[in-house]
Formats: sequence, C-alpha cells, structure tokens
Amino acid sequence: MNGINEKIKASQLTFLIISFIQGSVLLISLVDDITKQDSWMSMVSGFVVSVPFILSYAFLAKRFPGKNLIEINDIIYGNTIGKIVSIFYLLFFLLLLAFNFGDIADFFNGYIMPETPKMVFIVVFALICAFAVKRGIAAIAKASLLTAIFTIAAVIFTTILLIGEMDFSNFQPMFESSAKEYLQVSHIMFCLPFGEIIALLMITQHMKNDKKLPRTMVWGTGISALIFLAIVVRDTAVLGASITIFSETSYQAVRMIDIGEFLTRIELLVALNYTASLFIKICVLYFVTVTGVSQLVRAKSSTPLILSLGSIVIVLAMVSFGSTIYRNEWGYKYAALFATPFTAILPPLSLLIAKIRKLPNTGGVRQ
Amino acid sequence: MIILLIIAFAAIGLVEVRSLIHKKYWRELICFCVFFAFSFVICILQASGVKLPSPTQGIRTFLQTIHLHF
Repeated sequence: MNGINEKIKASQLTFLIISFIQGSVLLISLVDDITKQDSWMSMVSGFVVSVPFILSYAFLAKRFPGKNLIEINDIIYGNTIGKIVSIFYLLFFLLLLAFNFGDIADFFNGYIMPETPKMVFIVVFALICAFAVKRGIAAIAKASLLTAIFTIAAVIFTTILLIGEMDFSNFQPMFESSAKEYLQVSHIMFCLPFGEIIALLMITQHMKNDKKLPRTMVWGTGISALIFLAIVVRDTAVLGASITIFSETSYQAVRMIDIGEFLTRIELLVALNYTASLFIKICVLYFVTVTGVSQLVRAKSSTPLILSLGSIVIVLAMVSFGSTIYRNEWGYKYAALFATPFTAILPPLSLLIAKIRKLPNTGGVRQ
Repeated sequence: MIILLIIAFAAIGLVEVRSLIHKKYWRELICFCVFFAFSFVICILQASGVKLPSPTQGIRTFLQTIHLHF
C-alpha cells in the first residue's frame, strides 16, 4: 500500500471524521420516519449521548500512542482474547463496509439509474475505492478535505434556496412521539453515524500529534452533528407532514427548488454529496479492514488482500438485504443494537481495564 | 458472467502471485491464496444464482432469540 507511513494532521482527521459521519446521511430518512417533525430533538440528544463515548475512544488512542485498535486489544486483553476481540471488530467493519456498498447501490438504483442492476454500481464503486485504498490513508484524508467542504457548501446553498418554501409551523405539534421512539432514534444516531468513528482508531497511529485527538474527534463529530441538524430542520420545514412518505427526504426537499423556472434539478447536488461522503466512508472502512486483516495474519504488505477482500465484500453487499423494506426494518430494529457492543460497550470497558491495570507499562513506567 | 469472473480472477491471481513470489513473501502468498480462493468460490456461487446465506438474517435471528430489538 502506498504512503502507509505517511502521517496525517489533526485538521485532516477533523475533515475525515466529518466526511465519514456524513457518509451516514441516508440514515436521516429512517430517523424522520420514526420521530417525524421531532427528529431534530432526537438528533441533538443522540449527539449529546455520543460525546462521552467518543471521548473514551480518543482517550483510549491517546493512552496508547502509535498503536491501533488491534494492538490496543492485544495489550489490554492479552494475546488470545485480544485477537478474538479484534476478529469481531474486523467482522463488524467488514459488514459495515458491505452495508455501505449496498446503500450507495440502492440509492443509485432507486433514484438515478433504475434500469441498471445494483451489481454494476457496487463493482464500479468497489474498484474506485480499491484504488484509493491502495494509495493509502493520507491520500484519502486529503480527498476528505474536498468532500467535507463540498458537503457543507451544498447544505448551506440548498438551505438558502429553500428558505421561501419553509414553513416553521411544520415543527408543531411537538413531543408527539412516544418516549421509546425518542430513545430509539437517539440510540440509532449514537451507535450508527457517531459511534462508527471507532473505525478511525485503526488509523490514529498515523496522526502527527495524538495529544490533540480528543479535541479533534469531538470537533469533527460536533460539526457533523450540526450539518445533520441543518439537514433535518430544512427537510422538516420544507416537507412538513409528508416527510414520512418519502424514502429519501433530502432528495425530495431539494427537488422543490425552482427559482424562476431557471434554477431547477438541484437534487443532483444532493446525489453528488451522498456519493462523495459515502466514498470517503467506504474508503476508510475498506482501508481499516484490509490493514486490520493483514496485521492479524502478520503480513508485511496488505496490498495483495485489497481485491480479494473487495470481492468478498461485493458478494456480502449483494446478499445482505433482499429488498429496501428488509433494509429499512434492519435499520429500525436491529442495526443500532448490532453496533452497540462495538461502539458503546467495548471501548469504555477497554479504557477502564487499561486504567485499572495501569496500561501501557514498560517495566512499571508509563509511556 | 461466470466466464468474465474467471478471466478477472485469473488476471488478479496472476499479477499478485507473480509479485509475491518475486518478493519472496511466502506468508503473504498463503494468506492471499486463502482469501482469493474463498472470494472466488463465493463470487462463482453468487454468479450462478446459488442463494447464499445473508449475514443480517443470522444477526437478526440471534437478536430475536435473546429478545433484543426495538
């Protein structure tokens, strides 16, 4: 893999986190379906709940400078249990990768090119991502700067153009959903978009200055939460009660832009935005899985595994969800619970064990 | 489709194996062969229309068994 030893700056990691989290933007429609006009509240509570957990990821990485998640697991849990925990983490990343390939294929197949088979999108996207992974994490981090700026600019631009269509009475009545539904959405928001940045613990060893890690991670997540909030507020204000009808709310909201019958069809900007953010998210997950597997089998180079793992992921993406209904049901009921052990239980537990055992120690002296 | 897959896999295998043998990376060669064989088999099965088990179905069944879902 090229540039494997290249270092990334704290600012680059912030943009990488923004793009990575924005890769989950398709989830917003799912959230809208559950808490409807109150989605913005669940979004905020999801972010607030995720902050202590994100800090636990950052402090874990800071405690073990120059080590990635697999090495940290080995130190904390010992060689055998550490390896088992790492295998579970790699399977989690592999499945996330497959689900995200499925997401992009579903989106393109549903909205842009309905006649084209999903397999075509998955294979083409996988080949492009394989090339990016081969170039290394520093190249992906540099690309994330562009995608993050593009995402922020697109959200601001479309929101300004939609001001005329907004009706803030659409936020009423408030507190309509049940407590269980608020809890469900907060849990989904915490475990899926925000909690998934646990994958970045596989690349924090490439950071130039890991002392800035907690601040960088919270900043990146905070900016992403603000972007999500802006999207949810815009979509709810524009679409109102019809927000639950559409399977892709942002796309539908931006479709309503029509300035003097001249500035129309802006929804392609949303499609480009999704593609760019998902590209970064998929590249990071792909990189993390490939380097993790090669580290687990103690291979000197991870490059030969890129295409083999890629083809396994393509098949997994094809067989994971039979239909969009099945995919949505997975999102509502099971996805967050499946991610909980990896995002909410193991990282704080690892940090606690490291503190109790006073790890890492080199002959009794902390590094 | 299957012929296309075989050609693609043959090309990947040829390039990677040659490079690994040239560098004398024997451990990497073994790992590559294992992953390559597995991916080749599941790709061929998928292309021939065999219904492969879905990982989400397994996770779903497990979570339902322990009554853990929204």
